[in-house]
Amino acid sequence: MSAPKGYLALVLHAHLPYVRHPEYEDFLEEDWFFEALTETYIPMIEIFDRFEEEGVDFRITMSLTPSLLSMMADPLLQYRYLRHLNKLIDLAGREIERTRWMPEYHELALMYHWRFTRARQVFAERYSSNLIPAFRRHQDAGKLEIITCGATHGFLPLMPNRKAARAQIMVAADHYEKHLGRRPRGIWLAECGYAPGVDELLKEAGIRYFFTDTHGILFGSPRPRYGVFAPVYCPGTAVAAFGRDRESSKQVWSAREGYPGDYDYRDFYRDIGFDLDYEYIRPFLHADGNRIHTGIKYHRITGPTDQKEVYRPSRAREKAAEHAGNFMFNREKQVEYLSSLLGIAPIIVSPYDAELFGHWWYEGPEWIEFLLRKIHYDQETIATITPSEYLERHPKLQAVQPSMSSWGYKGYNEVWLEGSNDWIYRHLHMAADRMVELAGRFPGADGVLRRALNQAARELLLAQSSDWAFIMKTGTMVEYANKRTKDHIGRFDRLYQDILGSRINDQWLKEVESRDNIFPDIDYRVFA
Amino acid sequence: MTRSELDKMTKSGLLDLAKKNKIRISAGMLKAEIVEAIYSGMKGAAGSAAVRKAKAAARAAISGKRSRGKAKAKTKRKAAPKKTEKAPAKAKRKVKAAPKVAAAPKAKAAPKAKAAPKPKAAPKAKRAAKATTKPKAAPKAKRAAKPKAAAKKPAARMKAAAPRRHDDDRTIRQMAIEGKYELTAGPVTMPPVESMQIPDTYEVTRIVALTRDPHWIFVYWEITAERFLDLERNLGESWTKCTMALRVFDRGEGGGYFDIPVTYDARNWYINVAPGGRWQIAIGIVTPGGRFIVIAESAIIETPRGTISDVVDDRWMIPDDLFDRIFSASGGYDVPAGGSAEMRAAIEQRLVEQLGSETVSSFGSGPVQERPKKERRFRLWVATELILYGATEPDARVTVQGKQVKLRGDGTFTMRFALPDGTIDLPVVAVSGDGVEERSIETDVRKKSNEKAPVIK
Repeated sequence: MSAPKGYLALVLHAHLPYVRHPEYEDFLEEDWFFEALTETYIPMIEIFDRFEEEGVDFRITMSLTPSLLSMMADPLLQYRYLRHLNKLIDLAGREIERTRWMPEYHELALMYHWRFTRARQVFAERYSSNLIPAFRRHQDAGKLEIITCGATHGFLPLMPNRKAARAQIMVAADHYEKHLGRRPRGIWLAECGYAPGVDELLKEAGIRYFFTDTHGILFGSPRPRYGVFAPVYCPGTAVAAFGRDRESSKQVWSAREGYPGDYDYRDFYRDIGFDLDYEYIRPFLHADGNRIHTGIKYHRITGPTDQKEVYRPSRAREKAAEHAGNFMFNREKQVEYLSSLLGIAPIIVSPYDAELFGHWWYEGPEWIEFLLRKIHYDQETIATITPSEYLERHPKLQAVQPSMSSWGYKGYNEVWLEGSNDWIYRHLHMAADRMVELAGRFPGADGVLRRALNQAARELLLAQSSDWAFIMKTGTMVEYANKRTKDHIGRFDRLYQDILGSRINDQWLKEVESRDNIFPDIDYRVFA
Repeated sequence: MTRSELDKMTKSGLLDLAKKNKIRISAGMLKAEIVEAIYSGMKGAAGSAAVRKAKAAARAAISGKRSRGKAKAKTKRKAAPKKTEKAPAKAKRKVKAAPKVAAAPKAKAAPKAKAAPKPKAAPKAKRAAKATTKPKAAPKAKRAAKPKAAAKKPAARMKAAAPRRHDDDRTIRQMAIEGKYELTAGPVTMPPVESMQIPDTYEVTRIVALTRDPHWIFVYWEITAERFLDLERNLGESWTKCTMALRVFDRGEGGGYFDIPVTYDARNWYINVAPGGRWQIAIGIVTPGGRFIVIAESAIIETPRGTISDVVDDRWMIPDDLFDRIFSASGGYDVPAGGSAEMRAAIEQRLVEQLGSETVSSFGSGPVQERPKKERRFRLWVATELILYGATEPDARVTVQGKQVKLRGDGTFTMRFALPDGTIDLPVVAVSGDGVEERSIETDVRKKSNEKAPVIK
């Protein structure tokens, strides 16, 4: 194959906040993780496995955030996921019987039953209930590049305490190394949130690159010679910043023109959890008995109408192939144009939320599979690449100071700092300052004091998840986000008072440790 | 307890034991089945999994061994020649599996066995490996080795068999693998968590400023009661005439400041500032004489410029019109005609307007698919389902529309069907366990729904 005219870097940001509630028999918000496993993470693993088997060469970058990795590694959640899958398989089995006289639905019930059973087989049998080694294997094979993220997806531009921001990065890098056997080369900054100075922390952690939204680079200074089509070095640190390409992301993301809205694709909202008789569906709901999405959905988007038609997987699959072809064609044209304009081989960076594929856009994983397959077999204009490989091949880059930016609505910090959520910063900042204070006061604690200090660090990190502020802003599940923020801040506050007052309650501490058990190896001195 | 010890117990004794150990026993289970259920249940895989497997195993045992059961068991033995054919096959596989486990040094060896064998032998080996992972086989071998120790300490055994702690990594993974997917015994639920209260104030005096975007800064502050008392003491009578204000210092090239009056109970504020600046915000008191007494000062923060930089790197210089083309391509736009500053401003604006508007989030709200809007919030839809239920002898074979139906332990069955328009024949056929008698009931169901045009009153 001749040298490609340009590169495509597909970046999937996989993240969920740390949700684990051993104090309840089952817990609604844990479903976020379970659904993402069934619909996104397991299908992605299966795609990589197939490519490996068939010798399809591909490159893709995925951020697996420390909180997500922690959930994947957690035995309780693994157990509960199997339980969740068992219920789904049971439900799908009943659906097969129930739809016996409605062939179109019957076929779909069979499909779901097969997919859930298959997910269970991949999860439990092939990977012994832990997907991390699966991802790691593909990274070690050089096809998948896994990058890290702030320890709990903390939004760095709103973290004025530098040591606290630093801890988000350091804890993440160590956690990555523990689970993936090497230091992370790149990072996905939570919500693409960058502010000048963040690159210094990355450099200290040995991280070589990160991503910004388009204007992070375009509004950088001096003017970026290649726009977003080549990364830039942050002055002073030489950490590389890759900018998001707008054109390719619009094709997928856009609510109106984007692929996922195609009428042949599966409709997200019509779900048997809402459609079927209550008594029948009740055993598959949570204890509160509220109707929820089960994941079994029988209709396609159809159009702007309530009269949804039955979903046809084969038709949807054809569409996914067609859309993959369209995406590839557009990238080829884009690369041809850009290479003539720039005089270098451009890199097109297309980042997406991983959970978009499979969860929101049911056919998304198929689309990715078609796309990577087509790029491998059908053309020679573009090649997929990881940022690390690009940097190895093109070490000489322009130095540009990127602008403060995020990929949230309006491009800066407003999503996480507005009327609904601005109250949290008073508490987050105080907790961060106090954590740094504690780490300074007790440079070599051991025993129960050390445990209390480590737990305080965990509580602070958990409170810092940008997810809580985001949920408060979007207005769904707000109560849960409020509660999580208050619980972690409250526990931190109690630990702080107990530590300073030398009255740590061992029993209570043990309980808190077993509940908020993220980062078992954390060392509070990371805040010093 | 060993199996033979269980065998010696009476049925009611067994039922008590099962109750104590929270092992589910369904109605109509044979003694051998109960023994099996307790036997495997106490080992951990309690619940329906054990029951089902126990049933299968017990049946195999019954057909093979001399049965000590009563009337019911006898009918079973008579039951069907078919069964005796099936049973030995099952038993055989189990026998095969057992020695393998005994030979393997650890239970962990099972997955290895999957990988090890030569390619040709693969399917066979797989089945063997599967068999070894079945919970029953492994402990059998173990238990056989130490029957005495086990018999001595029944209490300890039961403790060990109690629900697992959730943080025991090995145990749960093993449970998942050994018990295959049949997880009915859940880990212990922790006690409910106390709801935490967060402090309203932190007894400090400080002000913190955060950049929201190029045009806005957010500040929050806290002033202790002592600080207010101090001020009151120092200012004397004029205190009552003082007001509070935020002073926004321009720490950039421009210099200067402006004030924003705030009330005493305000605790935060959004401040409109110019892009691309450096700012420091103080909270303080304005005296009647116009003096500003600083209570607290924020750190200096910056607002982003929000536009293309004027700084051009002479080592990477390109003509302006080329830059404009690259810039607009970066924004995902068509190449604009010309290259004026106005055009650039227009692109900048479009870029900013579109910022983030395409992104969706992975959970919560933010769908890719737009939800159709309803014109009026009124709806009606109706669907029908048909429930067919009945009972026969537990060992009978029942088909509905030619497809076999799973019977419950007591011989009852229930099926539920979505019922479309039309006529449906529902032949139900039951064949007795001994194959001698057949009974059938046929039901015809006719459904027709008729939707009328809506009436708007």
